[in-house]
Amino acid sequence: MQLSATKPGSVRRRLAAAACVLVGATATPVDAIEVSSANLVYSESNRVTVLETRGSLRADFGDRNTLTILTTFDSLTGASPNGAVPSPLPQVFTRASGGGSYTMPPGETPVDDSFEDTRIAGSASLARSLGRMTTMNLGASYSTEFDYESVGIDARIAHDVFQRNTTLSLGLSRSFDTVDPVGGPPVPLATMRRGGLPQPKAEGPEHKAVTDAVIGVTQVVDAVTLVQMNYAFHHSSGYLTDPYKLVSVVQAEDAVSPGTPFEYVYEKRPGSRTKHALYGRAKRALDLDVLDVSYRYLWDDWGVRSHTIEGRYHWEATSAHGLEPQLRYYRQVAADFFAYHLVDGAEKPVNVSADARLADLHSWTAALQYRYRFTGGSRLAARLGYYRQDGDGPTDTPFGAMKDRDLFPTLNAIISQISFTIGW
Amino acid sequence: MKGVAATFNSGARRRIGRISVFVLALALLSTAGCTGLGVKPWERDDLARPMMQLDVDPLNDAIDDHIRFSREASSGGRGFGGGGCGCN
Repeated sequence: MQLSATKPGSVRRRLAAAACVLVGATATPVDAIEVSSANLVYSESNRVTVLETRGSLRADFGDRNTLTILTTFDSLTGASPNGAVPSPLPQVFTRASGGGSYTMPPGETPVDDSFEDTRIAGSASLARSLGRMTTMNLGASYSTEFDYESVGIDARIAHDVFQRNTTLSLGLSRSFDTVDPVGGPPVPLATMRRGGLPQPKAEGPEHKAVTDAVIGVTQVVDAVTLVQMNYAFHHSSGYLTDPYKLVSVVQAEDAVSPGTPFEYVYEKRPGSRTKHALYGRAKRALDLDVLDVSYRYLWDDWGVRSHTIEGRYHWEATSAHGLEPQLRYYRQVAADFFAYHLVDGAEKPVNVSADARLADLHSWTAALQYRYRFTGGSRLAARLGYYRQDGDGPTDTPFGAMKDRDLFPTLNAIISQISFTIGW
Repeated sequence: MKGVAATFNSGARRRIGRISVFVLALALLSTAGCTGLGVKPWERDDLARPMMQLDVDPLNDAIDDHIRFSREASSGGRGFGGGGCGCN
């Protein structure tokens, strides 16, 4: 391979030409181009590790006309909880594909350590000004991984009023997803067959349709304060079940070994979900620093209720160096059909999931981000964060073997990230 | 049946109440032009700074959303809550 020095102007011309071809605007001059990348290593202790790279190319054609192209690549490896509860006895599970088994030692939270996936996603979005005060955004997205595919479109319109002190916005998006689990989708609530035998499978692949709408107002309060309020609606229908999650069935209180798991069924979730969220955010400039706080209340027809509060303080140490502590607290109430386990002999539920993500839980995120601004306008940022998630206790009183078991082990994760932006 | 209807009604009322409060807040903000909120174009120095923009770090926001979407039962609010991945 022959290497040759390339002038920045030539790079800009090539990127501009590529952007122009994409928007079909060969005669439109490009005012500016910005290339960004964010690279993440997310590492949970004894669980999964995610490597993620996101890239963006933004071409500015002037007068608020822009083209943005986003790419995502992520790879996930490690051990993921399969939903079953720990047992005083060793537990043997059949792998999701039906090909082989794995055994968990007594007292340990069962995890499937063969969990791995790679995702590639891309999206393009074109923003065009419709008059002096209105901007419209149209976008399309595609994402693919081994067992999942998603195709989406979205549109957003924003209109400024009151000397641009108020911005009203409306966004709509629709996506069509295909779920094709390894070995086929299991029959919901069917019993897992042991010994690596083929599992009870339904016809696949399965499908999911998602609709999102966000209506919002952004308001300039004074010369240093900005507030934003959104109402977000989400509706998904189709296959919302996690095909890899099990629910333990434990022996009844009057059995020989009460609370001991003896079989496992595949989980089943409702066929639709409607979520609502109210979101408020305020940003305030404090001399050269910026305080950024937000709050979200979310509720849905699965019974989940959550509060999220987040704060960031950007300290502009010098014109080049900035430091930003970030803190977030999240608390959720479990979905109605969440259960750590089922009890033998009890009525079979219509829907049930032991997925810890649907449990009563709370989490903390603390992070510190360092920013550096180069003289030409390019930027570099590095972030180190810690994520901790704890369960808020079982909904039913544990009995027998379930007593004193840690049904929701604390999740600890380290978030390391480096990102940069170069502009021409 | 009466109990179910009463529960539904109280749930629906609460939901309508929440949405009403929000709509009222939106309406109040929308009438800002008449209430003295806002600034003149020449008072926007601080508001125009990059760090004062709402989408100062879109890629970071997308990464955060992905982590939370994968580990919690909530998503969306700031933007769409869709997903597009099999991580939840």
